[in-house]
Amino acid sequence: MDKELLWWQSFRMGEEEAFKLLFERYSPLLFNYGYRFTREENVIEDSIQEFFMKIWNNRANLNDTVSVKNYVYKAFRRTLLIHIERANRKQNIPKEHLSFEIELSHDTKIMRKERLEEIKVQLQKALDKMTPRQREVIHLRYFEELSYEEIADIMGLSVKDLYKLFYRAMDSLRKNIAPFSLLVVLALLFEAKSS
Amino acid sequence: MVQDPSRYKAFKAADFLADEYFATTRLAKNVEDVRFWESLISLYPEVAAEMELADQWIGLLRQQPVFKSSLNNEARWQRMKQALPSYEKQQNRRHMIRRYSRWTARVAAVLVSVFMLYEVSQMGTQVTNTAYGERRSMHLPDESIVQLNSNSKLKYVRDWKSDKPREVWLDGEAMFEVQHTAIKNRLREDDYFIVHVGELSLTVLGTKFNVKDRRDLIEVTLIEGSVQIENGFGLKRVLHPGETFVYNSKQDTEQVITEKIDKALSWTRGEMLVEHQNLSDIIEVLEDNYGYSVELKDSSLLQKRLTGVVPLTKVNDILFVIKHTMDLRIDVDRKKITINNNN
Repeated sequence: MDKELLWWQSFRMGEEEAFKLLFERYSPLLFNYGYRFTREENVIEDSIQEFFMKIWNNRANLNDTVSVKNYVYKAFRRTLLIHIERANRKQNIPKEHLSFEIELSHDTKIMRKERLEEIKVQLQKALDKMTPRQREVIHLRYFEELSYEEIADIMGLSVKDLYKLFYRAMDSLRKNIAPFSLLVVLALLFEAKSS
Repeated sequence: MVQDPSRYKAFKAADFLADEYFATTRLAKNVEDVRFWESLISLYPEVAAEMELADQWIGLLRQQPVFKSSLNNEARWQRMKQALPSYEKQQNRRHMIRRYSRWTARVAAVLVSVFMLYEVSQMGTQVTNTAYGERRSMHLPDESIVQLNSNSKLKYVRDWKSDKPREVWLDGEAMFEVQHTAIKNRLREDDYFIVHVGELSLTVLGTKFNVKDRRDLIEVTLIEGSVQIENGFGLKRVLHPGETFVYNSKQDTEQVITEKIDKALSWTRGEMLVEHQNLSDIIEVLEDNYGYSVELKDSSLLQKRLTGVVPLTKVNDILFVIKHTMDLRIDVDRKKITINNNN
């Protein structure tokens, strides 16, 4: 059995050790996820804290789960959105506004070639033109490596609606990718072969 | 997962990115799948650049910087442990309040539905029936008084607060004393009171009148005020006090007769005022108001006349009076009365 599922079961039976393992495994991941929604660290930290207190307090009523990650992301997202809404209300930001940012790495060390920088800039621009929800799907799919079913569950959408959202994101990407980045790639490939 | 390579022949970078198989392979790096994509490149060299671009994108998305909090795990854990007791206390209190408010909500819901039921029953159609031999006096919501004779039905809608006229539907016989609600020099629709009987509608303001609908004959006797009679097919007549309007709905005939008001009202006192009338009137009463079937052994009996007051409170009293004043032989067998000459 999956290690995390074992933790989950022990935690539900009241094992504080298992709870702590889950806490240590997930709170950095949740912080990173939360940071896409808001840059206010306090809001994220408070949400993480409340989420874990909530599941600890409520452990006896929690269900068995197939994927701990799926459950944790889903429940945390709900808590986080409530906190963000509360913070937004104080600043008179409209309720519907919920941002989600993807920021590609500035660290050029991970770039195999310097020209990749251009591809990055292109992709970043295309991502910035997407809606926050479209960016969130992209993030959960390619960064968190979750399945469409799991993403739909986390975001509270039907799988059908999630596919629609995803394909709109892809359409947006196609529209906003300038053709010249392909030339860059071709040059890269050529260089790779000749070296 | 076996895929048909030709599917990918014209794929652009974004198509590769969106392709579930491609993305899964790049994310999970299964050797066999990687081999598939390599063979695809040798098959269709033109997609190589597109695939490479999609690959770069996935790489970029996967290698997004991970944002770190200023709190490390241990500090975060301690912080939460400190907050936990007060959180638990608060949750328990909230739980109590929720349970308490759920109970109050339930009690309130019951009270509301009882109230609504009462309201609905008040708003709905009210029907009053009288049995054979029963008479009933009742007050309508506007304080008008209705005396309902035996074997009669009065129906009305309780909600008379609107600006509609007051309306009642009658089967059988009833005496109305309608309250006058109109204020001087101001007559509105809701000041009218309408009695629907058979195909007639009687429109009044404040009046006293008797309505009888038996055996296809509708009789309207006006005692005070005025009443307007209509049947919806052009008949329109205003009655004056003391007049009785007789309408035969079967033959569509109408006539106005003048007779003693007392006679029309005698039933309300539990009597029947009989003036030079023959036995058939009394038989009608026995049948209509008391539910008996009456058989006459000799048709000449119908011509027997009688003057006086016949008590209507009990069938036996009626029979006693006619038996002795008209010299009849009367046999009663449950609901069947047989009348014959006493010789």
